[in-house]
Amino acid sequence: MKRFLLRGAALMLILCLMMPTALAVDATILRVDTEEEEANGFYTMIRDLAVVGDTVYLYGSMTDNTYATEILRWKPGMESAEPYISGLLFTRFFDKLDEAKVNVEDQEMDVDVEHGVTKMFTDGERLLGLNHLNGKIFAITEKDGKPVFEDIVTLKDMTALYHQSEDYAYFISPESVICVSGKVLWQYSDWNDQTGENVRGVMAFDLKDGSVVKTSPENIISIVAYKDGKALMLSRSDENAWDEIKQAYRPMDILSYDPAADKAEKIGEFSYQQWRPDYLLYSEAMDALVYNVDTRVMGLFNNLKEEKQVGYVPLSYASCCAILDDSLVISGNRDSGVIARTLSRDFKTDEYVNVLDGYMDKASRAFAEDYPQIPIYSVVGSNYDAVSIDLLMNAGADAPDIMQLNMDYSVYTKLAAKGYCADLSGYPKLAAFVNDLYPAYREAVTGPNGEIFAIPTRGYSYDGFFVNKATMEDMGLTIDDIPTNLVELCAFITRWNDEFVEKFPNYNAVEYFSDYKKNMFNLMFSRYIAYCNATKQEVKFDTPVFREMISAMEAMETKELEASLKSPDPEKSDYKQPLIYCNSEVVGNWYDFNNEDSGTIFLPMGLTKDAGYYTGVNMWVMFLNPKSQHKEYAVKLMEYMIDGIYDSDAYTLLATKTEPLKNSYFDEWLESNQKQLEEMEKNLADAPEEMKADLQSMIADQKAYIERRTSQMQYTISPHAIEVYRETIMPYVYVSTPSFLDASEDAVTSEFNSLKQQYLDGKINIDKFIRDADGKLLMMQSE
Amino acid sequence: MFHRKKIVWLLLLPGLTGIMAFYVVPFFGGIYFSLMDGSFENKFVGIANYREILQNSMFQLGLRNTWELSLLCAPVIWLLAFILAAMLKTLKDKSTAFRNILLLPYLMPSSAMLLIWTLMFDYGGVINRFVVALGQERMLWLEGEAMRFPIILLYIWKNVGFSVVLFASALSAVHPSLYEFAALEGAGWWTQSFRITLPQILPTAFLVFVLAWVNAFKIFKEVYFIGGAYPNQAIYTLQHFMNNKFANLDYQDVTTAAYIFAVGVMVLFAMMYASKSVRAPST
Repeated sequence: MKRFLLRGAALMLILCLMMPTALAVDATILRVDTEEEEANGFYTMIRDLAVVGDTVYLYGSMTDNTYATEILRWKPGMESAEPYISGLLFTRFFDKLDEAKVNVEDQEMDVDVEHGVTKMFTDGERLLGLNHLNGKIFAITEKDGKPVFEDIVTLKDMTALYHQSEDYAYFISPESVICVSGKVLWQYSDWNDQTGENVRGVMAFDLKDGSVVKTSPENIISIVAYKDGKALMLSRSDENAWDEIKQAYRPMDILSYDPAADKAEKIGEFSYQQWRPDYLLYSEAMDALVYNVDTRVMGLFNNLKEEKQVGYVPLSYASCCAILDDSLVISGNRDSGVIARTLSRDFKTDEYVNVLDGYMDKASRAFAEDYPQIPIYSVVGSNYDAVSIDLLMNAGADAPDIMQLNMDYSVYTKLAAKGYCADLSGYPKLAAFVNDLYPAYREAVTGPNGEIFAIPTRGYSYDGFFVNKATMEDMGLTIDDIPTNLVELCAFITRWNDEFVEKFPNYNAVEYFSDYKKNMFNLMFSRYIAYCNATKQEVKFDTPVFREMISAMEAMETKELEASLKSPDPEKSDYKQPLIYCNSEVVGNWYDFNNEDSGTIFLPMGLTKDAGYYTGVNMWVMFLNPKSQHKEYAVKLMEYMIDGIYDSDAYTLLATKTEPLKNSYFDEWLESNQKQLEEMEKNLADAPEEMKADLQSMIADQKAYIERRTSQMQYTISPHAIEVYRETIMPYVYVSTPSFLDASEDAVTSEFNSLKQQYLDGKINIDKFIRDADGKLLMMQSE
Repeated sequence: MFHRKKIVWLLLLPGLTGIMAFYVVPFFGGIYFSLMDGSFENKFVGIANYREILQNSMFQLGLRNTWELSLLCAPVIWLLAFILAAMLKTLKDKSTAFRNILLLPYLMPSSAMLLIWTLMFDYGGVINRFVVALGQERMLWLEGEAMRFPIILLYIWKNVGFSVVLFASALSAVHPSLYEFAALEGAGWWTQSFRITLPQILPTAFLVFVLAWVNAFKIFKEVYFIGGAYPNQAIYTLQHFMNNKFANLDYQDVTTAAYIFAVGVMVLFAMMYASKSVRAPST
């Protein structure tokens, strides 16, 4: 008996050792350094992924020539993907074979155009390529790093792959391509010119005889190779996609398709919160359909009925993917590289970070790189009013750990006052970041006792005025003629009406102003509320400042001006080049301030002589949910997020950013233009006499262009822009936040819309307007 | 009866469960919020909220307006419904059609009615044309204090039908012989209505009054649709106050205001119900 048991145990041990182990993998198999690539003028673009045996093949371009492609390969155990085959041609963007040949010759590429690859896929045993230009389907193998092609079949009819309209035909790129039971299934989405509707379907290419047949199922959104030689298709018509009552997408039908019989059978329904998943695959190892819900990898088990999370990938978007045993290999954004992740039916994680409206940007991926076992999930809010946010933040395990809101267009201030924002002052890195902010921004997120309620991540303002220099000079005006406050602007508009309409019929005084009194009144109303908020005064309309503005507005003469703005031709735009731009970007607008000789002049337009200009910055902030159950990792992620803030936002927010930011494209731009100049000069030497004058003129233009643009191109954020921002703009900055009002100034003005309209329609006079408006404000304050 | 027929409790159970879950439990559970400070951590503050709310000028305004509107609307509905029901009684078999017509506004969705109302009372609407025809100036019916008039009119028009139905069913229970005797004694229609009919149907009359009165407290969505969250002070009701507080996450103020109001209503209701004649008709 004892011997029997020992033998049994030994056998079990041997069997366990012999059983294939799961290929557990969590790695970035192809890394992309986008900064290095952009600086050197090339970029990596993975087009297709295919799995043959235990190897993943990656097809794409790794140089600045998008047509020159190669294949890399990766097996579990390898640190990263290695080059496999080079010297291929990407043909998807060509419509004709001759066109591709000419392009190849011009670029002196050493490639086989006949075996250019429109799409790379696999039949499970071989790597296959399809060239839509000649209909060839071929196997791809390797010898000495170069491709070896073996033709399998040539498709009989290629017209089905082209959109045919009256004047032209163009190739319809496939959305997904699979190979099952000797047939290539080509899923496409086309456009019907007559009906204006999407046409989605699947073409079947027979690998034996090259026949091209449209399959019977219609409205196919996605296809995936399934088991027993079948394919799974997701089907739903565009018309029935959206359920207006439920405000959600209707479920898709899951069809099991038999390519041999061209028959589809409905085997289930697939509910998905968006149009369709980014990726859809079948995992034989788990016998489950695998797809994504944001960063979660989901599996549909038990005959496609039971949904479970099986993994996590730190990507918000997938361009292509493949399943290798129980691992998902996926290519996302260009700078995310290609990632491999293990999937498991028993996937579970106690630690994760929920981010409101999170997006797997660079910062999040850097976090994911260092903490691959800590998923980042995005929580989407259906509504962002106070009550909805309150419910969201109290949703237990599903509640966001990190909230991201715009201070102006949300109820952030109210939330902060009610203790909805955890104090971050105890986290040194975050505290140091806040300490480096400009004072106006720092004050907006800190409490009276040094608490830090939120971390700003972005700031911008769209209430600036600019003067168009060219228009001003053309009109014979100088900067001294330009009004500096809204009262003066009204007088200036009257002057325009009387003097300039006939002289300068192609110009408008203020951009997008057509009904001047209405536009001016609305502008004055919103700017006045902003002014009160900026100066921390009680908002009240019965004041000398407001009355002075309205008097000026009522005295405006605009009849001739408005008549001139209406185009006689109804099909022609009414837009005319303005002298003054209003509601233009100020904070965050580095481009216009980069160059001292830019075409516009910043105009700090006050309300009256006594009420100056202020610019209200809309600031995006992130804060920590005090009830977060994952504080440690949430704070870590916030630290990554402040490291990943865009340069332009960092310069907007941080007072410590004083050094100019060089344009990483500048050297490349300069080199390219210098090369062109050298070419022209070389050509001048050899040119015939009659052409020399023209060439000399071109050379002079090119030199002037380089000289003119060098100062603009040299910096993304120039020393001049930094100086203007710090010295000229920052004194006017205030952070736009609601005070006693429920939400932003826009929401406040919506309460007054009816009152404003009555005034503009002449139903009430300004005194009644002011009385009623102040009555409303008093009610808001008193509540 | 209830002791013997336990099945009655079983049949009542679903309804009672619903009332408990959606009315009774939240009603008492809300007391918790009224004793907290309303912050994310919810700290206990005792009756501080009650002191603060009672001193709040907007709460006082809302409460005053709500009482005024209800005391305007309820008696008008009551009287109008009673007169209409009494008149319909004289029509006997032909009254059904008229009763249905009166009930129609009650069944119509509010948003559709509001749309029609805003068109009618618009500055250039039908009502102002009528006003101009009478030689008067056009009015801004949907702004300012004048908004009370269309709101009250809308409320009465919408709810009078239901009250008529209640009265009508009560009237049908009054024995005809009483009217015959009264007619023989020389009593006219008005005397019969107020000396015979009304005393007979006093419990129903009380019910109609209470329903009209309580429903008048709920005048809000019509005003909100037309006047927004902060309408003119003349039409700003307690519901506005509570709605705005709710939107601002001031749950403690919402519940506090609601309980103060509920206490007032219950006291008045109890005083009225104390009268015997309300509980049982006179014989």
